[in-house]
Amino acid sequence: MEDKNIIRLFFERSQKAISALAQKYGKLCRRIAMNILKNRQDAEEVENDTYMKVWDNIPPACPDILMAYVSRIARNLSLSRYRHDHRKMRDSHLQLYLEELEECIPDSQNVETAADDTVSALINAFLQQQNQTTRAMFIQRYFYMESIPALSKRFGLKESNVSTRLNRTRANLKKYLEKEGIAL
Amino acid sequence: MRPEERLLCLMDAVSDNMLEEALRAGNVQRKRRKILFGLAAAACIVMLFVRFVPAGQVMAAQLRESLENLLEELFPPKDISVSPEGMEEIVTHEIYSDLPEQDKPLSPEESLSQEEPLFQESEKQTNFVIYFDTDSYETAEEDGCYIIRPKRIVYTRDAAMDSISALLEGLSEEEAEQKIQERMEEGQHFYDTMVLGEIRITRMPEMSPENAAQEIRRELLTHYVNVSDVTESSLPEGLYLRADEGTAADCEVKEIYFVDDGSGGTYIITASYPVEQAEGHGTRFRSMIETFEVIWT
Repeated sequence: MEDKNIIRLFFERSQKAISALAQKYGKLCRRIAMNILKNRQDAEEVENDTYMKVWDNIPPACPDILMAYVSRIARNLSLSRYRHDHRKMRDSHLQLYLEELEECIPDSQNVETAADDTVSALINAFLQQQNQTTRAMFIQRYFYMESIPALSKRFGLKESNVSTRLNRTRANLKKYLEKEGIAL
Repeated sequence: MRPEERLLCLMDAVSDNMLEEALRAGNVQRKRRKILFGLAAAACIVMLFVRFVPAGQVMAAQLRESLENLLEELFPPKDISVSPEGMEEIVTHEIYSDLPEQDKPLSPEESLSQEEPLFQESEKQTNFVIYFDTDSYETAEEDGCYIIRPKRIVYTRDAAMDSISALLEGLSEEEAEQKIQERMEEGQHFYDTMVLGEIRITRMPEMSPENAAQEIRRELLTHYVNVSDVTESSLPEGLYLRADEGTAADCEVKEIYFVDDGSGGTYIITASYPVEQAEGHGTRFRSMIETFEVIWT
């Protein structure tokens, strides 16, 4: 079913909205949740929570891109749940992702920590400058939290090539943030 | 919160467009445009007239070409979003239909010997069109049934050699060849006997969707462990029924849609697949079935 029709069902408060959403984006939600939580039962609960959240938000919200909207909710719910279950993210399997992202942190001293909005805008601007594959790979890795083998399969590249490309992008992001003079 | 944790959270602010683009990237499949069926619906009507007039046969050829173009305009190949196993793909689908094959023009002698009138009132007919993924599926017609099924997978020599590479070491050329052939046969047998499922489209004339659904439901109850109630379906618009043999990987699932054919009958679209294929072929079947449309010619 087309996204606009699913959204229409939400606006009509039709119960079919949830099943239509589940049919189209259920697996995507589960996948994001599984990537973060690594637990099938938790992932299914996050999936259901995502539907409820979408139900609560639409209307009045009317997302332009339902796929992105749903993905963002599923990711946020998964990360919140993870924080709740693992008091420190560093004790978790997300450690690997965090270590990688550490390479993006600018070496800025005596600089005021930038606001979230500023950093978000800069990340978007940086990604916009990258070519499509690099951008997609970076987002797949750090938004959708895909594994390197999964990215390798998806992009038809060797795992070492994926790692190298991500490594280069992280280094470039660090340089970009330093150039913009911000601290995290 | 540590900076890297903050950065991970701030990735949430990546724009919707980029999130969508990232999901579509890497899995995009494009295929060459290909015309799948010959005579346009409107051509059927025109042919009824022109087939009996020798001069009309020349005109028919020209009209046919124009109408083929028209059909291509009406039902061009289109990219459809499919999410098998939760990973979205954009797959080009093309049209499949039960429109009749192109009529062969009669010779002038044949046409003059016909006793039918030069002008014939055409009756309204209904046909269907459905988009299908030509990359992974093929179509067939058997006993008035229109079928969309996965293409046959060929187990290649390279695959056979890869799978037994260790075994081949130290064998003579002849022995190695024999092993490869045996492996190829085993591999091909495995693929050929693998149940992947199919879509079957049939038509029950003079039976409403409600009656057809109830009749088939009664029949399913004698063979399947679980049979759902008849419910409404929005895409395609009609009725829907689901039956399965259980939850084991090889249990068969049937999803059946009943669509009013507009002339008192019902199109019955049946997707069958094993449980283990629910998120693979099952999802792809559903995407194709959503495009099903009844047309009047």
